[in-house]
Amino acid sequence: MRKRAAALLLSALLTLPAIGLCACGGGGYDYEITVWVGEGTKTLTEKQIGDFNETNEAGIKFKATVLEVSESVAAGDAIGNPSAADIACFAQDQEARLVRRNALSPLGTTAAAAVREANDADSVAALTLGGEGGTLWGFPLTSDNGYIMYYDKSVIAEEDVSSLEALIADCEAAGRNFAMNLTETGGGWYTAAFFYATGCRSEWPTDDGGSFLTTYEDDFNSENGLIAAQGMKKLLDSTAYLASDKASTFGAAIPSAVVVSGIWDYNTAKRELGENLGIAPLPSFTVDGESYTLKTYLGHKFMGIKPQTDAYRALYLQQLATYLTSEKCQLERFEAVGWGPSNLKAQENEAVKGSEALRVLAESNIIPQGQYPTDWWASVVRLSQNIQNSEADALNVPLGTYESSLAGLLSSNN
Amino acid sequence: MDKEQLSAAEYLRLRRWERLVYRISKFFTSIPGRTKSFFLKLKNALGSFFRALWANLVEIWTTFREGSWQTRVSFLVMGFGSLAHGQIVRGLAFLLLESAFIFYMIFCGAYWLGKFGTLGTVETIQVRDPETGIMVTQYGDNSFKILLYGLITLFFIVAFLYTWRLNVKQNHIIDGILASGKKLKSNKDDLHSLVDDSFHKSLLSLPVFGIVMFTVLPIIFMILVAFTNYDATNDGRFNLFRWVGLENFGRLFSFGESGITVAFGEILAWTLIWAFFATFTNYFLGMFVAMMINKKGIKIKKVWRTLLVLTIAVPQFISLLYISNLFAENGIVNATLMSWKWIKEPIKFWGDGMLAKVMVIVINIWVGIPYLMLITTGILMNIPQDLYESARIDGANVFQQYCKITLPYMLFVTGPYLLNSFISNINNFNVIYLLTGGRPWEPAWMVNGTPAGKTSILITWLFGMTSDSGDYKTASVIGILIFAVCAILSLIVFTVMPSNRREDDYS
Amino acid sequence: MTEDERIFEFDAEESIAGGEFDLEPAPLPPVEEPALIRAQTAYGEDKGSRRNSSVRVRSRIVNTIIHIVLAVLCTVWILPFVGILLESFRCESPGLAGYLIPKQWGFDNYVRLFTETQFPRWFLQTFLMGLVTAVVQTAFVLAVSYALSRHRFRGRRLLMNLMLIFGMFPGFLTLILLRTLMQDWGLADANAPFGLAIIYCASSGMGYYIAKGFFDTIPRSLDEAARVDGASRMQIFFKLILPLSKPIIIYTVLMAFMAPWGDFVMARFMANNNDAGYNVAAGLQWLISETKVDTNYTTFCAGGVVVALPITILFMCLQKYYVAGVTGGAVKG
Repeated sequence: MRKRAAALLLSALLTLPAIGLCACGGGGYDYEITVWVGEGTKTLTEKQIGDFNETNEAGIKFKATVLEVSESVAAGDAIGNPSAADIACFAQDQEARLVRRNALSPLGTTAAAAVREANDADSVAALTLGGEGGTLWGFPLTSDNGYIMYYDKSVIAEEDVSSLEALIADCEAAGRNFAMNLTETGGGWYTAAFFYATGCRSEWPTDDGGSFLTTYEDDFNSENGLIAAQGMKKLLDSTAYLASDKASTFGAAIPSAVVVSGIWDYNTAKRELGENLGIAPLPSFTVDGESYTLKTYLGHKFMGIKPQTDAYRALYLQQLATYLTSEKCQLERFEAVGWGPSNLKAQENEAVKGSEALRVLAESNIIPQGQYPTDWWASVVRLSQNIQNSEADALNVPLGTYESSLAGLLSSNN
Repeated sequence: MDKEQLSAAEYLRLRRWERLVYRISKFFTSIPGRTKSFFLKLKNALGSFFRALWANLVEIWTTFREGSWQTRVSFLVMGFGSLAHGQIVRGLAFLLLESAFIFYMIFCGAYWLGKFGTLGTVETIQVRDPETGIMVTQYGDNSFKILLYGLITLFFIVAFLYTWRLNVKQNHIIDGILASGKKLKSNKDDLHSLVDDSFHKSLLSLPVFGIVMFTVLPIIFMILVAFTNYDATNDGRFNLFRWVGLENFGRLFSFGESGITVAFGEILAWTLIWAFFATFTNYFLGMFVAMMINKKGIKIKKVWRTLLVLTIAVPQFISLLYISNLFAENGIVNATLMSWKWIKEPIKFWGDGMLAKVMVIVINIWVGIPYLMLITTGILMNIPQDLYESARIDGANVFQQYCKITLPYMLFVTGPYLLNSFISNINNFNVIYLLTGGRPWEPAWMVNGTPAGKTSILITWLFGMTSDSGDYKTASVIGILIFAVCAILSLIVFTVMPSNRREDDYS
Repeated sequence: MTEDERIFEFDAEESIAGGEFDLEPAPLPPVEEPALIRAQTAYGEDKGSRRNSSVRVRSRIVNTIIHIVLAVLCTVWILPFVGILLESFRCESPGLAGYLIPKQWGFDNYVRLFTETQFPRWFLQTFLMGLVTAVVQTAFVLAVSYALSRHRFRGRRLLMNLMLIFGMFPGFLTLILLRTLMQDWGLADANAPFGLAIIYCASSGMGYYIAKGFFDTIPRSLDEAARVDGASRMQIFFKLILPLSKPIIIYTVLMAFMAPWGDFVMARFMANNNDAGYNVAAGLQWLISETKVDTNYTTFCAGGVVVALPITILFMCLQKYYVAGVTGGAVKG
């Protein structure tokens, strides 16, 4: 008996790899591809690729392995990995790095023309490296990578929503947290809100191949920057401040009353707060009697294609990506996971216009997101940490440290 | 304190503190001598190596000069001598190996080896496909594969040379046996010896092959990487990487303000501090718990032990993640303490560098005590009870008994274990990675996209380099340094500590 | 590194004392126990022994205190597991929660785990990997240990020292190379479990230390007697030594079987984002990756319970062998 069980197990072991290998042998398919898509869109993408197989003019059939790989992970895993996905979804701020590291192939003229025509100008500009008329490296997927403010209506009074100071006071009074990630990893993205609010600029132009030029412009260390630092200090010094950007902290043991996070957190926030959920654009802070409204980045997600050796395979992959980012597919994605479309026609859709989160984002004070050296984000986090630890009257010191770190960012290999 | 050697009688006459001072001073004064003897040993070893090499060359030459014609042919056609004398099994084995080697060298080896010096010269380029107008990639050389397969080829060459030497020796032996008029070993003898006198060869061949392929080869490969500029940019496919000598080491040790030097120093220091505390807190507290459970009059010993041991069975990636969440700034522990009015503001367990360091050490106690409890329980039971009995008659209290009997005995028996435990704590990835991941982050230590924080230890830093930012060249240097730290520690401990165990003690 | 490897770390080292470079077995040192001698001679003063009922009362108080301390300790040690168990039965929300006791109890998370995630596949893969590793690793470890313990051949010490030295290099360095190799052979991505099993098994001979220590304690006179009777080395190994080595065999099997369950680094890396190739550790970790944790946390906890249960039961049954192995490793290691 025992022997038979062992034999069964052994045979099971031996046949498993055979199954795995057989599965790779295509039946009636032209190309086998791997596709990495973001959270929650795996089944939808499988369906959409099936639709493409049915409808495309060339009659090409793709056999696709669709895997769920979050955009933040995808960039790291696509670089230097010979078996990375043929088509993957990335966040826009990774583009220069991906191009520099040869993880993307440029769009052909047909695909580029289609993309330029169908999508909003911001998203096309964001994906074009090397300035206007430069090479287009990706297919815009969303125009919603910005942040808004979620708050708990049972704690925050409606009239306080637009004032940072009032929000902080409400949170402190209720013993709840004000969650905005300024000082942890990833905090650079939110820190910028304060500096852009006072009119500061940080621009890092790249060449066509994704390498940063030496002509960067950054004036965070200025009068305006000092005002921004003073505004930040109000939040950082508060006992309510929590370095987190997770709507799930509404349900933590010490719950948050305000969370600044991306619109992807809408569902979580809704689940945690239900009827009490309020959303609003980011508030204003007041320094020396003058009021400044926090800005939000607006970035994009995009689909990129791995460098290919076979021109026709590349051509059809571009057609597939064009289809997957088309009006129809973007609308389907909006319905399934609420991603805000970059496609102009899809943006005009009534359902899209009716989305509360997208509407709030559109009402926000927006700054289009560019490309930044990877270590720049760390420099900004370091700046906010230093602001947190510095005396209120010595805020120019952290700003000076920040400025002196900038030149080194370009020489960094990253 | 007098530095001269004291006799045993003189030593025993000393007061206790004098003995201590004497022992410590002995330790330090012996360092030069030990260092010297280490280098002497090294010199001797090198000397004997070259002597052996020379002796081998001489033997090869005499084998050729004095050997039969079959032997001389064997220098080119391996196994010929054995075949000619009817030792089919051996002869065929040699011949097969030789043909396989030549076959491999012609069809693969020569190609890889030829490119090994440059790690590739043909660049990968992008070309516009004329028909579709789409840019496609034409791959050139792949530095990664060249380094890998070049290395494998070198391994094969070494293995071949060794086999060739065996083949020559074999013929030398055959000549000797024939000259003395005895009979050669038959094929059956050969096969039988594989399960008898040479049984170890059968036993070791597969495991050692596995170790060479999956441990030795990869490690040597990664050591070589430390001397190249292999990283995510120069990934070997799109941009070739090349040999850069000691550049990577130089960058790490370039004393100055640059991020990587500072980060390295800080992380190394914390790694050693962490390993020290993690080892000794666990050791003493684990022993303490074991002693409590073992104490006479303690009931349900088995239950206590089992409850503690449960923690070993549950995978750490589950339990440590849960604990990490418990202690979050907005987590249950903080909320509870606040509702009890013990604290006014939440404690940033993971947000403050010092506190986070203390926390990982404390939680590591939670992880480690069950192991140490198990280990020390077994050893404590081995301590002869009459020692305690006589100590009690002498009126020693529990603490004195511990200091005089238990602790010396434990340290004596588990000395080497402590070292191993220290080394494994230097490489204790799980606890740090799952609890803090290195937090709180120190943005100033960010190097080439690899984040590092106040609780990062070398191994988590290295992991970040290989898995997040692809900074393989720096990771290799860090890996070599981790190895160096471990090796130096072991050397020091084992040369300073008299070894208390030798394998043949038991037989 | 998994916690199981942690245990193996303890045993991997061999003394390089005295003769880093000599190839011959070390000479027998005199048996010395200075610590004990010191311990025995340390009690100069004679305080005499006075025992009375007050001593007994004191000892009872001490014992009570120790019982209380142990109870508190065990509570602290068990608490996280109780917490995970409670989380796994929480049905009202799928994310992290700020309280311990669920508001709504049920098996929803377990149902979800087995129907909506790939958990059954991960579990099966890990189980098979564990079986294969247990068989091969045990064979390798026993073979290497026996050869090193009983045979005296040229290069033996060198071999042991080399295994020690290579054991000191951090294994993560080789991840990228091993993945490239496995991808070339088609044993990564969805087929990662096969590649992983090979990697777990291939180098397992390096963990020979505990078993060798055990073989060393079996008197060599037994071997000699058998050899006089005409038994070959192989027969001695299979018929004489192995039957005497039950504890160490079980220990090795147990350790080898447990290793794949906790490995979340290598398994995730080899699978290259393909969740079909995960083991339970990588799979469960993936469930609570940053973008998924809000909807999967309680499912993760349920998975944790399902993984921990069989291992815990196995562990409870075989605890005494585990203790024997670990203690032996510490004393001799």
